[in-house]
Amino acid sequence: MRDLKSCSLTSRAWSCRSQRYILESITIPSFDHLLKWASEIDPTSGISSYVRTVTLCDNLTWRFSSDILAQLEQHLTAFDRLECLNLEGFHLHSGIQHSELIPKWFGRFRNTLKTLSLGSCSLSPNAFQSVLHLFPLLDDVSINDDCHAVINTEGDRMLKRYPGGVPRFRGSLVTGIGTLQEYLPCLLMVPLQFHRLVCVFNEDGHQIVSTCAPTLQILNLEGGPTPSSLVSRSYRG
Amino acid sequence: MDPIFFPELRTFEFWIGDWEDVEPMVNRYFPLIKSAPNLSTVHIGVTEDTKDRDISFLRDAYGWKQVDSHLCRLAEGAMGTVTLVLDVVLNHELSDRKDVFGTLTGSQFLSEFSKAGGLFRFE
Repeated sequence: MRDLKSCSLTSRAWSCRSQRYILESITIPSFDHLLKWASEIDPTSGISSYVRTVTLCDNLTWRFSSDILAQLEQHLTAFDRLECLNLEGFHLHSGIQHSELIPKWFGRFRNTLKTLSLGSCSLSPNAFQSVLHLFPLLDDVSINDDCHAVINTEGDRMLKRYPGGVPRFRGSLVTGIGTLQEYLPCLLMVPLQFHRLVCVFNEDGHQIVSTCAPTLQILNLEGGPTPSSLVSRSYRG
Repeated sequence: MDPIFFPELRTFEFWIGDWEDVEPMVNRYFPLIKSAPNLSTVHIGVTEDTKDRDISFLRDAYGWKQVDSHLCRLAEGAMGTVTLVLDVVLNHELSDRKDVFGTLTGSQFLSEFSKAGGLFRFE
C-alpha cells in the first residue's frame, strides 16, 4: 500500500516536471500551423506559465492580420512568463501591411522578455527602435546573418518619438558577419549603450564598436572579410 | 581610423583564423587593447583554420610586441588580476598546444607578465 502511495506521489511529481519540461519551449513552424493549432491546454490551468521560449517562424510570410492575431490571442495570451522570443521569417518594416510588431499584442511581454533573436527577418531602423522600446528588459538581441535591413519609406527611417524618449538599450548585441553592413544604418540611428557586443571588425564593425565603446564591458570580435588593401602579399606565401 | 577609447571594457575576445585574419588583427585589434585601461581578461581563440606560420607571423609582428608590454603594464597597475586566456582548437596543422602557447607567449613575456601579477589560462 505504501509503495502504491509513493508511486502515485512520484508519478504526480513527474507529471508536473514533464509538463514543465515539455512546455518550456514552443515552436510554431509556420503560419499555417498557427491557424490550425487547436490547443487542448486550458489557459486558466497555469500550465501556460511554464512557457519560457516561443519561436514563431515562417518563410518571410508573417503578417499580423486579424486572423493571425486572433489565434495568437487565443493561444499565447497566457504565456505571462515568456523570456525568450525567436522570430524567424518576419517582415518588420512599413513596406508590407500588418508586418510590424503590434504593441498591443507583444507589449504583454514587456515585463518578462529578456532575449530576442531575429532570423531571416527584414527590419527597418524604426522597427528596431520599436522593438527596443517595446521590451525594456531585453538583455540579449541577436540579429542573425540571414536578416536584412529595409528602408522602404521615410517612415522606416524616421524614428518615432516616444513619451520620455527612447530607452537606451543596455543589453548585449550579437550580429553576424553578413548583417552588419546592412544593419549599420539601423544600429547607428538608435541610442545604444550595449555592455556586450559580438561583431565582425571590418570598416562597418569599426563604426558600431566606436559608437558602443563608452559603455562596452565585453567585446568579442569575429573575423570577417578582409579589405584587400590590408592583406600582405608577401605573407600569402 | 581614429583610435577608440574603451573606459569600461573588462573582457576582450578575438580569434585567430587563417592567415588572412592575422595582419588585420595586428593593425586593428591590438590598438584596442591599448585603449582599454580597465581590461582584466584578454581571450584569444586559435581556431581550426590557424596554421603554424600564422602563429609565428603574429608573434613576430611589431604590434604583438606592443601588446606584450601593454599587457605587462596593465597587469602591474590593475586593481585585480589581468588574465590572458589562450583557447586553442587543434588541427593537423597545429598538433601541439604547447608549441602554440610557447610561440605566442614567449618565455620573456611569460616571466615579465607573471612578475607583474598577470595570469595565464590555457584552454
